[in-house]
Amino acid sequence: MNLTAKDLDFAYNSRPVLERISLMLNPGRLTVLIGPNGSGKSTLLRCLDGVLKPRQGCLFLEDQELSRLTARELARRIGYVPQNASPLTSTTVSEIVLLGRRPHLRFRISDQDRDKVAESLDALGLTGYSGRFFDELSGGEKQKVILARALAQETKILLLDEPTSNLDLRHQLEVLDLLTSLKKTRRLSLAVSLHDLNLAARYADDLVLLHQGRIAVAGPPEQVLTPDSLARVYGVRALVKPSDKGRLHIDVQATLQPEPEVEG
Amino acid sequence: MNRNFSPSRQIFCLAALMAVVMGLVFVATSVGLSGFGLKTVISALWNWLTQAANESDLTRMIVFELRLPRVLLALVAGAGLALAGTGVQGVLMNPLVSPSVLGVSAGAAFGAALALVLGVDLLGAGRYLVVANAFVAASGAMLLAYALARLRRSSRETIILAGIAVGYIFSGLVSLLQYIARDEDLRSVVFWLMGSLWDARMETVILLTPIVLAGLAILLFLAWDLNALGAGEEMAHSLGVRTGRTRLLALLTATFLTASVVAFTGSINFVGLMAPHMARSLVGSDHRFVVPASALVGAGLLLAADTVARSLVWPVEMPVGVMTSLLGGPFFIYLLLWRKKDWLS
Repeated sequence: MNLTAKDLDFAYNSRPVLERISLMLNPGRLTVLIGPNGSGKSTLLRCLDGVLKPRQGCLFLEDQELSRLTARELARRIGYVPQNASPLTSTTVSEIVLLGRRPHLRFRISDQDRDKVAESLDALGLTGYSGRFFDELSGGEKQKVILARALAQETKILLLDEPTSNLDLRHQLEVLDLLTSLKKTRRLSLAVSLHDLNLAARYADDLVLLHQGRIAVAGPPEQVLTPDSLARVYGVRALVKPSDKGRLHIDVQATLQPEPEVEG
Repeated sequence: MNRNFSPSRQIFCLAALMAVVMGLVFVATSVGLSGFGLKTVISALWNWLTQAANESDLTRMIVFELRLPRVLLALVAGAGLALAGTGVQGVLMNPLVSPSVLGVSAGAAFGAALALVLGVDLLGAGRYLVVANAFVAASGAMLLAYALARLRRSSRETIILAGIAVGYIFSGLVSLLQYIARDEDLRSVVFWLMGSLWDARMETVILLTPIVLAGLAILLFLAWDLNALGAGEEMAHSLGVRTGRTRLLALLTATFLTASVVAFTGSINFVGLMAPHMARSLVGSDHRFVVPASALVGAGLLLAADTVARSLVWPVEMPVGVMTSLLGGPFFIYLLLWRKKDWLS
């Protein structure tokens, strides 16, 4: 299933946050959104999920307009993992993962729901954790539980807002490796926002570099991550060199003075 | 694996709660000034069921017209207040709120005082003047708070703050009415404000029961939405919960439940705050079980409080509202100090 955005505009009250955003998420591909703080990554993900209504432009799921789907239909197709998704009440791991079944059930929990929860826990190596309380887990474990919740939702499109932000190096890799394998095995269309450019370069099939609410460059990593674009968007002087295994390595050397000017 | 979701523990808890409430009913019906014990009451009930009318009129009157209506009213009212609290806490994702925080109680008090002091009849309700006024003003207060919150972005915080503000305004108006009231009217306002079940009648029970059952049904219908909201608003939204609609429906339900109950009983605070917590500590966080458990806890809590209140200082009756406030204040402090993880998010 693919998700297409055409000319999205979004504004909080009168302050424009996104302008003329067009992109496409495809099955089996991981799209990584990068850009400085406030460039619109989170807002874009929320628009793609339908949490926020764009002021202009359209969103299509295959060839169906997103706004024509009911909330439940949407929740069966698009999953979304917000940043720092921490439940407010004290709940167990299995209860949180079970929430992912909410778009599929009415009142009772069926055997199928139970199986899906078990399957999702298993996919993340969390089987032994099901009875544990969420707030007693470490940051990495919490992130995995939230991911398991999204998997149990069984959507073909999955949007994740900085899923690695609170994790140490090892857990960052683990989560991204996992997403990479899910994208292959389940043919998921994935969109993930990241801050770390080296991670982005390593895992992205497609990169979207956002700058002040617009797409500065989009495409394969080697097209997007150039010294020129990094200077323009982030205001840093950086070297980009291919390392072994053909990956890009970004070596940030200094900030450029002054900060980049506002365009347009 | 299945063990983790098997509802047997929760169902056991519900059954146990029901048994406790039944036990309380027997105790409460056999406590009273006339000194009728459990045996007399049970035999009166049995004879009524089997249509063998060999009781003295006095026994029948005390059991069926005094004690039973009061016990039943305590159950229905307690369940109603607890359900309202569960709905509000669930939908505002804040375990420290209850309908009284949101201005409902102050609104009800204003409506009642208006009737008691000035004889203003908001609905043309005649005999049920105080009740109708309290109901209208309580609902009005909550709807006003909701409308105010809607003017800006209606986040859960703005609803709570708007409710507190509306509550203050109505409390001020109640004070004003008390100030200008004649002495005997002032007495009845003060008595109303304390909240009690002494004027329990079978008609009231019959009127409130369907309202409380409807509230129970609506909250059960919203159970999964409330569960999803517990994981945060954005998360709930992405799980297909129409958060605005859910919030409005739950708040309206809570408002009408509280308004209907306090209209008859006067202000009874803290049941709506305490019962959902106790229910959650028994059955966990799944609202499919929290909702009925909370109703049972509320029913038992108010019945126990009322029974204690009317037998503690023999032969004087204390208003049950005083009793629940005496219990509720310390409970609130307990939540604040020792159950931080429930409300610090």
